[in-house]
Amino acid sequence: MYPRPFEYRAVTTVDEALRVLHEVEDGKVLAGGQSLLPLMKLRLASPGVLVDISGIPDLSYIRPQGENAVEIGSLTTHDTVAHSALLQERCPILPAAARGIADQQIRNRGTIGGSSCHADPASDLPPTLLALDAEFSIVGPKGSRTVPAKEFFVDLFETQVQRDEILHHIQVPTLGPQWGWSYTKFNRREGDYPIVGVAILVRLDSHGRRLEEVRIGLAAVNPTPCRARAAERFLQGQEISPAILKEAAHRSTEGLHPGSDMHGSSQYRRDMVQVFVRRGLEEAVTRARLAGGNP
Amino acid sequence: MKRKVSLRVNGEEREGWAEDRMLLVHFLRDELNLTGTHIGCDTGHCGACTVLLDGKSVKSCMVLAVQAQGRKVETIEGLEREGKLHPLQEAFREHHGLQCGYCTPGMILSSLYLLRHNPSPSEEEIRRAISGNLCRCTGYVNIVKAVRAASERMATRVEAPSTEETG
Amino acid sequence: MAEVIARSTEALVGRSLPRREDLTLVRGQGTFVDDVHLPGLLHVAFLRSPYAHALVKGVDTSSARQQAGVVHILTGADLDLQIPTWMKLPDLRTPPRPLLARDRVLYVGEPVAAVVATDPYLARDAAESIDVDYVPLPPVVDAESALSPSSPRLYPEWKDNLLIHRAFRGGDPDGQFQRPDAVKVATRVVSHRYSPVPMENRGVVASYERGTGDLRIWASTQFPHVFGTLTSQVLGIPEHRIRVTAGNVGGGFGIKSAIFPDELVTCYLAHRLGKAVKWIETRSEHLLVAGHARQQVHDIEGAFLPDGTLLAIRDRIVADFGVYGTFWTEVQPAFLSALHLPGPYRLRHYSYDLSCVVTNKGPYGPHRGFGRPVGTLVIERLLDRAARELRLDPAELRRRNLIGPSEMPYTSIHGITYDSGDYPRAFSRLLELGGYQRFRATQEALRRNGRLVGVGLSMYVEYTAPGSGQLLKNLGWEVGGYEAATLRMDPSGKVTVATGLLSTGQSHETIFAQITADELGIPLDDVVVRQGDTSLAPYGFGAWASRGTVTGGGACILAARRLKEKLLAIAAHRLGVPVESVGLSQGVFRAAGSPRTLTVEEVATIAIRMPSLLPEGMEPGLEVTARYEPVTNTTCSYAAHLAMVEVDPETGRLSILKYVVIDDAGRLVNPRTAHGQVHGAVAHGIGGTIFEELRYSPEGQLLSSTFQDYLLPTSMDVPNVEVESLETPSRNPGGFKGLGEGGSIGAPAALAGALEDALAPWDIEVNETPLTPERVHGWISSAQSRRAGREGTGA
Repeated sequence: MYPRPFEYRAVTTVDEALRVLHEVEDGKVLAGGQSLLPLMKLRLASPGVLVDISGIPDLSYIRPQGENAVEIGSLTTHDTVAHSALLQERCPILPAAARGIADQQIRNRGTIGGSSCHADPASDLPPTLLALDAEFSIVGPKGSRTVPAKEFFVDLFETQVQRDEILHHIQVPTLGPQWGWSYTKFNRREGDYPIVGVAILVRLDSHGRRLEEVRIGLAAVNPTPCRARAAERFLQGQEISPAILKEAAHRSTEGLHPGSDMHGSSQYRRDMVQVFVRRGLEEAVTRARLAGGNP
Repeated sequence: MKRKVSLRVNGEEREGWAEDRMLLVHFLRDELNLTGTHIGCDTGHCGACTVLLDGKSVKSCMVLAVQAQGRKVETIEGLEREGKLHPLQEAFREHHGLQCGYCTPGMILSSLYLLRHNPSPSEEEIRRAISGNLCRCTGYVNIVKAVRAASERMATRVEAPSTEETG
Repeated sequence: MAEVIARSTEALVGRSLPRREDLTLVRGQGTFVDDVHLPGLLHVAFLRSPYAHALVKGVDTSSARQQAGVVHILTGADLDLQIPTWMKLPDLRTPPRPLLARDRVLYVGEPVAAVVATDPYLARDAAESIDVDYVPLPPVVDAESALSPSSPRLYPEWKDNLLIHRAFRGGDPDGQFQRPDAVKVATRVVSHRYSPVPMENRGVVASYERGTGDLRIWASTQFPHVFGTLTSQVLGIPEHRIRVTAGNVGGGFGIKSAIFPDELVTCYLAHRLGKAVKWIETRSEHLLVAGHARQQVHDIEGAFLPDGTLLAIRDRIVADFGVYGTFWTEVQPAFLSALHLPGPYRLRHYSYDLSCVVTNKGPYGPHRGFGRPVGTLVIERLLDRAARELRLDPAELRRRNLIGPSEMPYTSIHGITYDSGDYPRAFSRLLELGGYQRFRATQEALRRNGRLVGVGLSMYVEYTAPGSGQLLKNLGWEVGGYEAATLRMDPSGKVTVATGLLSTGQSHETIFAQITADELGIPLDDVVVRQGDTSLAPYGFGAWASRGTVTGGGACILAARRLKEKLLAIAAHRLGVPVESVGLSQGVFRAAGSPRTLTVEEVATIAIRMPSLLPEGMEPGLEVTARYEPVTNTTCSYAAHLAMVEVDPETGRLSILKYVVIDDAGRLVNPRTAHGQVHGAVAHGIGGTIFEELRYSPEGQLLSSTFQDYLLPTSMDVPNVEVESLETPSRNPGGFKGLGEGGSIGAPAALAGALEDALAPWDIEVNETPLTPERVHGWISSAQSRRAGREGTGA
């Protein structure tokens, strides 16, 4: 398959990227290209100018921000995220989600920033970043700004990043020992997009009995990655019991409008959200209890 | 408009011409005549076109030729050293890890990437590492065997250092 | 190295030698069709119909013609050529098969125009700027509805959408069903649409040399000679001016023993332009148009005795052929589903009613297993239903119905000869190796812990390598069942084997060398096998119907015997001894009681370069062509499959815990490559049964037109298939039976059976494929609500 013609512009600094994006009419940022290039080959996307930022050395890094956060450059590949010792220590849900993306070759090339900006509602990272309340730093002609995850994903394949801007980095919090987490992906085969993806963070009280805080990010069940707010609210402050988790799972489908495709109808996705929210909560609670010394 | 693309392929400096939209796989095959890298799908799912780019396995149908400017590429043609097959090539043959041979170059490159990073993988790790490479002939049974055998052989006989190691 | 080991005096046939093919392929030095490059090569791209059914009011190519690099554009208006049929039955309708659509399109993906340009990127650019004026018509998407008199018709000149209707009655099924002791079991089995999907797409490079009038074709095909013949028929180019070459072929699995319009258009363009042109299919094109298969609905009922004895079967079959069956096999896959349905089970009363229907979907083609996977799926579903109804263990019910070794040769109700084998032994060994009894014992305990595990069994009989008479008489098929081999010995004593077969992964270069070297008594290294060139090899029909080893191997044996006879006669003459006293082994002639020896090289040199030293009247030269026509009307392979699966009751997702095959393909030439075929064919069956689906929308749009949605099984989805072989020799030379397709015949039935067994606590009938998580989840949910409803009313 052959993409339509376009002009290729490789840039090596952020400033240069912004300048080129400002200059050209029909520019599109190319990061890892693992979502964009297939669309272009199928001629479902045809940008006039492809601004390749993959050569900007300053955008590929994972570094601590004090004790309480980690900053991830937008060109950091999924493979790097998956194997990052720092993330494994401070924010292990993110490497776990990254490990399940597609396959080794795509993880070697696809980037956290590219995946976030592509905003495919069925991607693994966006719901995880939503659950983490990550912060997205965007740079543009008017300077830089930081957008919280809950505002970053605007619509299907649409984010806060404007045509003349680029995503610079993403900041995720350090999860303390009272936190438990899980990322569960349900799909047909290894590496397929999820039929549903569920990212869960729970914070327990010191006895490991009560849920102080719960965050549930969902993939593939709405036009955008989303949070299961009703279930989160329901769980907050609750004493953990199978019945409570089941009820929360039931409430996690509130407000969802999943689409249908070959691999799952809307109704099936709703059913699976319930299954995997419950399982994910169980897994996250178990982890939190182990970490907090309350197995 | 075409640009000149210069890169290092299998340890040799090569150059060719590419339109901006030309995919790396077409550049390797049609410009450099390295036809061992195959094409099996349109969407980056089959892995037949897998090559190593600066030491990392990538699907060369999902990289533009111009993006390879100045970089190092390893393809199936570069595995043999001084007339000696690479242990993976030998193992695929000995364990009947190929039938039609179409997926084989990509499969071997993915396995090579695996073994460079994990010299003694478990069966599960081998299966996961090649899950982005589809094979229609073998049911993967003998491919998995071959990769395991190669890992054992390479453990006893250190792989000749690649000229392409990025360190 | 194997070639060194092979110099021992042991026989070569029966040994797992490494393959010769591999030394090329592991280096990436194969020559697949896309690797063929010629000077001045032009590239073809097709514009295809976006509609399932529409009138074509006009095709405007004016802007496309202005585009960069465009050399030529061809539309249906420029080309009135059709693909004829090779299968002639009086009651079989032959739909039009135009090379390019003219006034109407009948499926999404039908070629409407072809662009020739200097570069494949430019060809694609120009193709999409062609403007076609379509008037959409209502599409026919469902085969059963297509039979309704109110359905729209694909072919206005037909009174309905039927390609053919067949009714068969053997014995007295209705009488059996009326027996007072008959227990009747009925089910409806729905097999979905999927296709062979080799990793290499199709492709053609064609070059016309005006000086000679030669059309050279390089194709990714399973049958180069047939490709040449059909091209000659369609394009009107004399056949002897056409030379077809196939280098390496990246898998076929049936679909490359078909030829589609796009391939012929490419050849036409080379001829018309007097240039070299290349067309390489994209994966989406492949999924849209390259030979769909398996889509059938069976409403089947069986009559059984209470002890499980199968008395009779009645079946009603609707097969969805899409726009048409390919010129080569037409409706045969559906015929074979019905023909092979009885499998290894005694059946004396059988009737069926088969409707082969056209719909606005991609064409139907040959696919590994060729109808049998569906037939086997259907009868095994019926047997599992019966076991449940009669409260018999499914293994026991099957055992009671298996044809025994003392009944061999057995003539099936369709007149197929099951020549040899021991079905009960294969089945017992399957249960033993698969740990069937042990599994049953632990299954209950696992169920109590909420784990849904199940075991499924299937067996099939596959007639392989059908003979010419059988093909013509039963199918009206103008295709030879024989195969040919030419053996040519050079003055140095080395042998070239040329066959018209073509390996698409079946290791012919290795196994035909093993067979030939053994038969001649010369070292393996002294034999080379050449395939895939119509100018080099005798006319052959290619590798399909699991016939390569039986027919090609048979031809190699016959040719080798004749060549050896001549060599022995020369050696005896030169040694001055009677011919009966001379033997050839490891390339050396020795005569009993004589110290003198001659090498093959010495004898070959005489035969070719010093013919005056030959026995009086002997023709010089060492070249023999032999053809082998299978001796019986058929030789039947068979296998027994066992699958163990676990189901996640909350999601419906299936995982395979264990897969075992006991296979009998007669004498094995190279056990390791033979088992490799079984692994791959089982994986093919797993893919088809669980993952792969060509699903159409009600508008006739293919929903799975890329590998994102058409899911081939990955390394994570196929278990380590365990294979054990019985080797009951057939009566063919070498004792071979066919092999390549088998695994994909047994797998769907075994997997569906295992799933049904896993779901037994809910008494769910697994009667529709693919076994997707959503479908399985749906079955479980309905069973749960049924049970809840019952309990509700009960309270």
